[in-house]
Amino acid sequence: MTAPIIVKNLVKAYGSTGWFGRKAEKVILQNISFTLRENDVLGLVGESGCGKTTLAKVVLGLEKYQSGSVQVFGQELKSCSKKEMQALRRRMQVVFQDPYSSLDPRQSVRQILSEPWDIHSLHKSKTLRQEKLEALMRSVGLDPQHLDRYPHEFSGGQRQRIAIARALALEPQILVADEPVSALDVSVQAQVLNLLKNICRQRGLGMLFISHDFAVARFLCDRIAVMYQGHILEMGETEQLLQNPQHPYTEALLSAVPLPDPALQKNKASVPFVSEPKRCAQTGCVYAARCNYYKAEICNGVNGDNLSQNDDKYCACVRMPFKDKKSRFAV
Amino acid sequence: MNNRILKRIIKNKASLAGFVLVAFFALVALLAPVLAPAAKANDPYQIPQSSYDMTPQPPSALHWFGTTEQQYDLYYGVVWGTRLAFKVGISVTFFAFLIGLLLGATAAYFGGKTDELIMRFTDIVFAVPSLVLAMVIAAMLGPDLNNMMIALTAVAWPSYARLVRSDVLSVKNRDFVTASRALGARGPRLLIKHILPNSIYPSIVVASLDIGYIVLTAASLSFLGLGAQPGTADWGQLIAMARNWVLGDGGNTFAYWYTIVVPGGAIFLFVLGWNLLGDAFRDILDPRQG
Repeated sequence: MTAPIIVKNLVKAYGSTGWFGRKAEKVILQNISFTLRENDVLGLVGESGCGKTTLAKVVLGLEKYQSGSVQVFGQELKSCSKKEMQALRRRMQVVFQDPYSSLDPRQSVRQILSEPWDIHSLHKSKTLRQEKLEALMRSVGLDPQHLDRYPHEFSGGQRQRIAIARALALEPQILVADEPVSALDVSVQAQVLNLLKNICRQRGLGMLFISHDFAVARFLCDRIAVMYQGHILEMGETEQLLQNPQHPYTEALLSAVPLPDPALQKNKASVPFVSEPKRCAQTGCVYAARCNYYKAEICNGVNGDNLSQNDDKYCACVRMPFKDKKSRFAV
Repeated sequence: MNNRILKRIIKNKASLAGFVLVAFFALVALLAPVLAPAAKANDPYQIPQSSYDMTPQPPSALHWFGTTEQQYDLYYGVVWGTRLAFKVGISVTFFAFLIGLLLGATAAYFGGKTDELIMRFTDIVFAVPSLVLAMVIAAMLGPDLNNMMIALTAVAWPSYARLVRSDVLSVKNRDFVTASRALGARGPRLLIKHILPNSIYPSIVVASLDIGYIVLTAASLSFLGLGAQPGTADWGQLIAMARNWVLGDGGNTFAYWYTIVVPGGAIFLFVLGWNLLGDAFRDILDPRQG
């Protein structure tokens, strides 16, 4: 069977045409390729504004894309009919970042959780529905007696559980989780992460997990893709990527994560994380403007996107062969 | 929720006053046939005349609030005028709200060319002073109560269209709408189940504030002779008939005060009541603008 999600050379731009034909276009996603396999949890990590959420929306069929291909369960999203799209939606669901805005404040939990079934005309009998609702509430660790409460009566963690329950109502095979814990307290984050992990394991779900937090991604993901300004710069097995980052950006991001122990933090070998561009960006590597290892003669004119041979392990730095950091400095 | 609204209205003196005023007028409107038995069963809005004498008569046992020009009974006019004021205010606001809701929601939901088309048309209607436009439309259609109501509706809807549009725009990209789309929900369901319930309240507040204003504008049109015809139990019409009696003669400036004060006071209190009540609604339903 083909992998649930195969993305190849995806390009997405937001454009608008003004009244007099002025065109403004902003490229959000550039040449994105990845594959999500069954039971696979792929993390998308990157700073805010790098296109993670847009990528999720494209994969979910909520945003159109300009070129490239997005295949979900073997179907190209661009050429999907409405009916086919509707069928795909049953197999692929989403959990959003902010549980305060992802639940309709004027609907009770019962209405929120029943909506997927209303839309797809499922479980119409009253008793069956009640059973299903209660099972759904229990599966995310909520009390079925709270079905008739409204979202504002729940805490952030509980709301996120409701959002997860809604996503599970259609028994999907893939879950797209867009920073599902970043709006939550650290203590609650762990509970929700455990819940997601268990759900994925028990139901054999594949998940596209978006995060800006390596620790969270490490806990859940089998593989991690690092995104920067609409490009995937590096992708690999979670532990490998974290232990031995290949791309200068991954390295800088990882070194920017503070350690909880002040002594360790002090002695940590730090790679300066440059958040503002140091130099005028050249044609070629997207990260050139902020890179600590930039060498004009090597980096200019090289498009890192084309270096990829393999969708699973991948690094968009021309200097990748210099695995040992010293040699990278030396060049 | 309704209990909460009621409690808060009663707590605040201004909103309580508004509530009492509107409730009082509503009662008068409801009980009009009891308070002032209709003179003509088929047209109760026609004020009875005791004679054709031009000079208004002061309040007496027969005519509690006095009579105006041509001996129209002011008491009868004010009581049935209350009913007419409700009829005009509520139906005009309702239809303006409905049109604004439809156009505003359509514009915001579909965006792009549809949005441009609808909103630029709205801008055009907005560009003409609303009273002037209402006068033109009423004059074109001919002086008649129903035509006046059409004219008022035609100038009142744009503000709702704008308001609904902006609120729908802010709600339509919220995560719960996107989540619903990801579940497979389409246009009508999204609008009716998620977007409108979360964006309609500010417009309801404006509508409650608008009822008073609509009645005031209706009175202006009637005063100008573009609305209700002479003899109709309409507050603006009653004021129009008092036009010649604002100043009394023979050194007694206020000789005919009742011709102005009775219908004018009714309009004043009615509009005041709705404004106070609308303010209260705004404070309760829409804390953003508070």
